[in-house]
Parts: sequence; C-alpha cells; structure tokens
Amino acid sequence: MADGGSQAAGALVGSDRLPPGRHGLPRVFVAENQRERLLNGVVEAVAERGYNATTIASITAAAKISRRTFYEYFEDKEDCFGAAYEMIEAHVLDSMLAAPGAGEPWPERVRARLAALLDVLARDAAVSRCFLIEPLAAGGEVAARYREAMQLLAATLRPEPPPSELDMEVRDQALIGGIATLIVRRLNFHVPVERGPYGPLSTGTSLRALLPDLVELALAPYLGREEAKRQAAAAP
Amino acid sequence: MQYLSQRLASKPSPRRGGDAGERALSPPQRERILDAAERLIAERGVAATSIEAIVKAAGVSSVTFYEFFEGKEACFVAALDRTVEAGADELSRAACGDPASGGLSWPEQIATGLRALTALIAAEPERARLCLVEAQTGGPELSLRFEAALDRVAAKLREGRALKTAPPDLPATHEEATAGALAWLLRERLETGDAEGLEALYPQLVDIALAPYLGDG
Repeated sequence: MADGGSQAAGALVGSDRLPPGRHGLPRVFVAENQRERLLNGVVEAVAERGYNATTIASITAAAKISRRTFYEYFEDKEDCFGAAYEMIEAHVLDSMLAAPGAGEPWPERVRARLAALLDVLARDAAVSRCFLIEPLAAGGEVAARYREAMQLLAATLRPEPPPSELDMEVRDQALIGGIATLIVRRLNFHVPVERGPYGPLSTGTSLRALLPDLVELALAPYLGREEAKRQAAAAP
Repeated sequence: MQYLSQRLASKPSPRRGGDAGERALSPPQRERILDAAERLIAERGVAATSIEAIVKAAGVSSVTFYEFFEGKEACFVAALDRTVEAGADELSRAACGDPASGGLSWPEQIATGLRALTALIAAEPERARLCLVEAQTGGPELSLRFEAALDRVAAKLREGRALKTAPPDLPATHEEATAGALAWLLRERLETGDAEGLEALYPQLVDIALAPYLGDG
C-alpha cells in the first residue's frame, strides 16, 4: 500500500529528532530509541485519528521512522498498539501505587491514588484516550489486556479485605465505568483546545477538579454517602 | 458548555425538525441501506465496512446511496440514530406503564426502563454493540451521539433528586457517573458474557441507579 505518508516517513529515516511540541509527555514516552519512538507514534496517531483509522503510515509518520524499521519491531498495528498499551498501563498503575499514603487508612489511600490517576491522565490527553477508550476499538488481545488493567485499577481502590458478601465484579466495573466516563468526557470536551477530530484534546487541567467527586464515588458504596462526602471534602 | 447534548441542542440541525415527516416519507431504499449498514457493522465493525459493501448488501446503486447519505460516516450516524430512537421509544413506552392505573413513579420508571433495556440488549446484541461499542470508537460523529445518549440517561436519573429521600448534596457529576457506570456494565456483559448474564445484571443495575436517591446508598 503505497502512500504519501510512508514516502514522507521514508524521507525522514535517520532523523533523530523527537516530534516537536509534546508537552508533559510521561517520561516513559520520551523515546530514545526507535522502538519507543514508534510507541510514541502509535499513541499520537491513535489519539488523533482513532484506532480504526490509524494506518502503519500514520504511525511511522508520527514517529519519523521508516516503514521498514516499523516491521523490524512490530508485526502490525495491533502489535504496536498493544506494546504501547502495556507501557501506558504500567505507567498509570505504577503512578497510582506509588502515590503517597501507602500506610494511611483506606479512605486516604483512595484519595491519594485517585489524585495520582487524575494527574497522570491530565498530563497527556492522547495517552488517556489510548488508555481508556481505544482498546475497545482494537479488540482482541489489546481489549483483553485493557479489561485486566481496569480490574487492576479497581483493585487499587478496594477496601482491604474486600467485603466478601458483595458482588465485587459488578461493583468494580460500576466504579471504573463512572470514573472513566467522567474523565473521558472532560478530556474530550471540557477544555476547548485546537486539535483532534474527537473534539479538542486538551491537557486536561480541569481533571483535578473531579477529585472530590471521584473519592465520594469510590467510598460511598462501603462507607455510606455521608461519611464518603466527609472524607471527600477533607483537605488532601 | 458542559454537556454535548447542550452543544448538539444549541445548533439547529436540519434533520431534527423534519424527522417525523422524513421518516414517514422515507423510501424503502434508505431503510434497506441502513439495515445493510447495521448488519455489516455488526459483522465486521465500522472501520472495515465500506460503501461498496453496503450498497451490494442493500441491493442499491452507489448513486442511490449518495442520494441519501453524504458518505460512510453519515450513513453510520443515521443507522445509530435509528437504533437509538427505536430503543428510546421502547424505553419510554415501558416507563409510562399503564396510564389507567395512574402511571409509574420515578423509581418504577427507572426499574422498568432498565428491565426493558437489558431485555432489548439481550434480544438484539448486534444492534446493542453498535450503540455501546462502535458508537464510542467509530469516529467523532458517532461518539458525539454516544455522549448525547448518555446525557439523556443522566437527565432522566437526575429527576430522582426531587425525591424526599434524596440527599441534598449529591455531587453535580453523580448522574453522569451513574449513566457511565450503567453503560460500562452493559457493554462489558455484552462483550464478554451472554444474554443470561445480562438478565442477571438487572437487579444490580436498579440498585446502582436508585439506591443513592432512596436514602440507602
């Protein structure tokens, strides 16, 4: 499949420039080598066009890497996006688990982890979109990995030991569904910025404002609404 | 402007006003094209469904296709709109209950609405997939529709704030989160489970939707 994109990308073989203008990119994505540049490229391309419309050419163009080099590292688009997803997932979950408050009581820990989640996603709307939405379009192994990641995310917010009489799977999914919905909608639409066909991709500075609501959402099923609200309103 | 439904409502869309009349006059070809598009999307997803495949499956010419739709995405949006409207009609019929007995209270409306919704999804998993999965990932226009549908659910839930038992200080985002949670649960059951799993989910959906307003959530 010949196209202008691969030609343009071909002309840039050997360029060691990182794509300009990426602000607040998580350090894991500041690519030093070709593979990581391709991972960064797939995130850029998928966030901009959606997974389905992303082509190898759009990935290599965003990464400024030749098509041939792409195939040295990855079999296809799904392989490449899967590798990027793995990295994003690890980065997000690590950030949550590394949040201060590990030794604190459960409600404080939940707050610290949710704050870490919002901060890491606010830093990069493209990464957020790839973390929360696009795996659904990718399907297959990426979607399976995504489901696992969402379960792990929910597990970081559970009380310990989890109340056994409840249907934790449903409770976890309801919580994740609520959290992901609020985040995705704000990333897409809340702060008007210039680009992205899905609506503006913003840096999501307003995300942090969601924190009290998310804390209440996570605590209320276990502590009751009033106590959850009290905890949510407590100073961080 | 916080919600997409507000954005959509704020600019008068030429389709909107003429909807009823348009549907009444709608030639069978348009419906045939939408049926074909729906079937193909269910089989292979939005990305892999071409106009060529649609016109072939619908048995119309591509000239006819372009008489009705600007392109592929416009066709998908129309198919999604049709499914969502049909679903919404069915839900509101269910939620009206029997007018002779004075209609249903808000909690009953939500419960019967959710009952109808789970039954609908179990009965037509392919159409449900269009609404719950493809709509979110099939491109900007479709995703606008998905968000608008979520807003409608949130607005219906928000009526629960009028109940005496409803806490006065629910977060402003509560209904948005609840609508997202319901959609998420339904989608996950649809993608990984079966019709039975959807039925089993029903009481928990009711609990998630109603408990906060009934003073025990």
